[in-house]
Amino acid sequence: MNMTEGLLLYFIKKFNGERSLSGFLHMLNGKKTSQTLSDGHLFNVSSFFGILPGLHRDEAEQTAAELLKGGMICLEKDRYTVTEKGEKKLEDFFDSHSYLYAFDGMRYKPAEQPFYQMLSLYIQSLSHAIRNDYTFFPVSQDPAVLHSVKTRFPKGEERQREADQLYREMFALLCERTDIDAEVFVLRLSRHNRTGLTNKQVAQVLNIPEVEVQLRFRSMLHFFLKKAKEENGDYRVLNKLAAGLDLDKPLTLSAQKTWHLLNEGKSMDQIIHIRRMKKSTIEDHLVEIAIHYERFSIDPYVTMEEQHRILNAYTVLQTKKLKVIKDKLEDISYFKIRLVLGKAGDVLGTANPVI
Amino acid sequence: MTFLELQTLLYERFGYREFRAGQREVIEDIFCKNDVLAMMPTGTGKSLCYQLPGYVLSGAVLIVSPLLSLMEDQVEQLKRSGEKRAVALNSFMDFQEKRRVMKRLSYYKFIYVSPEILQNDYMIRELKKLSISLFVVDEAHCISQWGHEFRTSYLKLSSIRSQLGQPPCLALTATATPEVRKDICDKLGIPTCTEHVYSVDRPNIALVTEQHQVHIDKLNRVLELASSLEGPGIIYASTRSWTEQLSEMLRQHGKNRVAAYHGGLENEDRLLIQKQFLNDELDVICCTNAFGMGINKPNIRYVIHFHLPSNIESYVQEIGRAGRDGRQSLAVLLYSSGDADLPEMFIDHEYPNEAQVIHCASLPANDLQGFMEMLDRMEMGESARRFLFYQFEKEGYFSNEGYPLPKDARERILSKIQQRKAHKRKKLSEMVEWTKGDFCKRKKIGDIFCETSQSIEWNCCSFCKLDLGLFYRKEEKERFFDEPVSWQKELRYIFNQESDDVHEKVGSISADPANERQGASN
Ligand SMILES: Nc1ncnc2c1ncn2[C@@H]1O[C@H](COP(=O)(O)OP(=O)(O)OP(=O)(O)O)[C@@H](O)[C@H]1O
Ligand SMILES: [Mg+2]
Ligand SMILES: [Zn+2]
Repeated sequence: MNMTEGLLLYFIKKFNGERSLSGFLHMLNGKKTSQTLSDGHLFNVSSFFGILPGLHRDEAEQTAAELLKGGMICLEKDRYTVTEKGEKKLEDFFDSHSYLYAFDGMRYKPAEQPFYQMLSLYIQSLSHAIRNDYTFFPVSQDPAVLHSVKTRFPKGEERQREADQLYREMFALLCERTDIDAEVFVLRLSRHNRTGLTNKQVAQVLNIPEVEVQLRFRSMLHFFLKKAKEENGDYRVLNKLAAGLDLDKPLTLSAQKTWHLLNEGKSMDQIIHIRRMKKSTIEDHLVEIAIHYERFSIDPYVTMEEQHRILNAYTVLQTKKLKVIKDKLEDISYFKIRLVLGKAGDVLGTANPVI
Repeated sequence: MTFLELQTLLYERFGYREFRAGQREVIEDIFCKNDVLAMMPTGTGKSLCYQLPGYVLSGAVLIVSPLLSLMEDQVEQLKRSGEKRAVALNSFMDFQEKRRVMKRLSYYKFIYVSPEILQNDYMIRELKKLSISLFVVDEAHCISQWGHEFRTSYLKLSSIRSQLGQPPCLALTATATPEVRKDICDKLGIPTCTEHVYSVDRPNIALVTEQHQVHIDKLNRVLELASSLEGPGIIYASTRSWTEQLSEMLRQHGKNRVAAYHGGLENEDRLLIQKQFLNDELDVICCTNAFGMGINKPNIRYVIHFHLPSNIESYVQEIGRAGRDGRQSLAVLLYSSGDADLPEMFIDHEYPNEAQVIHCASLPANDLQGFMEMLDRMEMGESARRFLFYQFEKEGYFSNEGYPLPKDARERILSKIQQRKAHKRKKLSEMVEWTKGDFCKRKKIGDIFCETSQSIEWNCCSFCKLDLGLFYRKEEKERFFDEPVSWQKELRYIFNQESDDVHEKVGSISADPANERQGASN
């Protein structure tokens, strides 16, 4: 099973017939909308947000057709679900691609590229500077990256010590991964006497598919970012490089503005007025916020009784299809249902996750 | 400044003992505050003609450059040589970065700009605060090539120069026919400039054209050449997918140190491949003409054209990447019948077709934004879109809101398209003729540029007899990554960790197997 098939199969499993193919294409592509944010949360697939950024609709459909032909999924009323055979295949798939467990798109996708740029230029410069070679071609020409590296770069004597430290940090982290992951990672980096390889070139050297190289590498970046943030003291240099990157901003830009206004104590109606936006748009924002911010209370928008009825309906019906739940609870609006399911997402989403 | 002083400066700043032909003459003219048009062959050191004066003149040097990547490469080259006061300003810089640079603009000695960013009022205001001692237009033939059509910013350079206090102007190019040179002077408003025109000829590049029966023969020939010629080399093809196919074919025949380069790659990959090539980690690069300008690699030994360029000027530019170190190099153009179809098609696609022009003209004018969006929806290439947009703007379409474009204006645009296409077709057939004709290729290029270049005795061209064997490789290069990779070893090497707990010595640089990947050239 190739990468697209495996990941698509995984999404089909997680969405379990509750969204159409195009419904989760945006998710795979990493397009941040209220819908993908809340779906990611609701179906517990946030970590794979943006995992296949270049996947086109045609290709996705073609892949689904292949899966169907192979008996790994079945199609009913325009919706796909995974068959038993598919389940089995999916297990195998994750067994041979276990690096995907480290992938966390929702959290790290925006930081991926800047972090890589910075890390590779930093390492390239360090690798040359400790050998007193200053005539290399920098792998980044972006003045912003050059500037960031310069402001973080150690002076004279400290350079070798910095190199020793970064060596220890990276060695420790790479040891936690498979050899292939580590090989991919070091080959992508530029050093004294060798320019970094492109994903394609790494694929040729290690004889594995290019998408796989790409995902192994991206997973590693996510892993590094996570470690750099989490265990601050142990990874001093990585932490320094990751500092200031755009992490932990799960909301869409527009929802962020709404969130600021809420924090200033504005009511929903006031926000609609101030922002001159449709009610439904602001409602989308509130759903997003409910998903991501623990301290946001939905109580002003849904009564306790309604909350109970919604959760009840969900437990009984065992579906996240809003339409089905809505049909059962005629008098409660979609907005309220989404808000409650969004808030409860973590509790609801844990049933037998593959990851 | 006396000649002796100049020469001292040349040595101390740039490490060269002698001026190359033309450099001194141009520089002395600049010191006399004359406007100058200099035409000097590719790779012979035009940049020096403004860089050296930069250290004598009190103010900054402003360099107008057509391509972002070219600007970035030149800034990088200056920085490598120890000049930190160089910067490239372009429309793609993010806001913060732009602000950071603009705040300390007066610090910079060499300021590279695109013609487009000079349209920005804020930019002009800031530049006016500086003293600009020299106004350079690099690759000045672009004015004539593009200025008329869609990069109309080029046409405004002369008024910008006067806003900046009319500093002396230096126009640089490697390939301009007398007609184009006249156009450059007109458009830049430097009718009385001193012209320093040197031949376009590069005597150290042997010129070979080969005609093949069918396309597949060309493929075999490329393979043969790339396997036997001394590298590094460049293979030009005219589409992205061809560059990929050629590099894949070479790889499949065991040539590992090959990569494709084109505009469709991620920026990050493009940079890596470019640096690998500069560091001699690749032997061959298969590319579109997106690769080239600004690449200043001294030891390129051959340039092969798998497809026909659309005019002789482009061809001369592209083969000009070869032999910058002055050593003997080779240019091969492979031709088979039907090869002109592709460039012919490109010419058509560069302009909107008649139906598109008529359709757009029939719509009542509204805002610019809306018009751009509408163009986006029509199936037109980027250059056709920009052409149409600028032509409509020039005809005053947008200042006449609510009205369609008048018929006479529409006819003017249509006939302009006809003219431009006819002109380009003529240039293309000149290229084809040059390729196929039985004459000395070098002499013929001279004719086209109205020069008197002569055939040369050794390694002139495929018509004058030439021994290709001279260009064959003497020894095999090592292969790319033959050894299995050990990440532990790599990591130790990166950070210069001489030994580790396992007592496995990495030792000296040359003991590192990774080092062998660099090939024999290091
Ligand atoms: N006087 C000199 N002596 C030796 N080398 C020189 C001299 N002047 C310039 N060079 C070198 O020649 C090379 C080419 O210079 P440059 O990039 O300025 O060429 P160019 O004429 O602008 O080429 P192109 O037409 O491709 O833009 C550079 O490596 C430069 O350092
Ligand atoms: Mg130049
Ligand atoms: Zn000849």
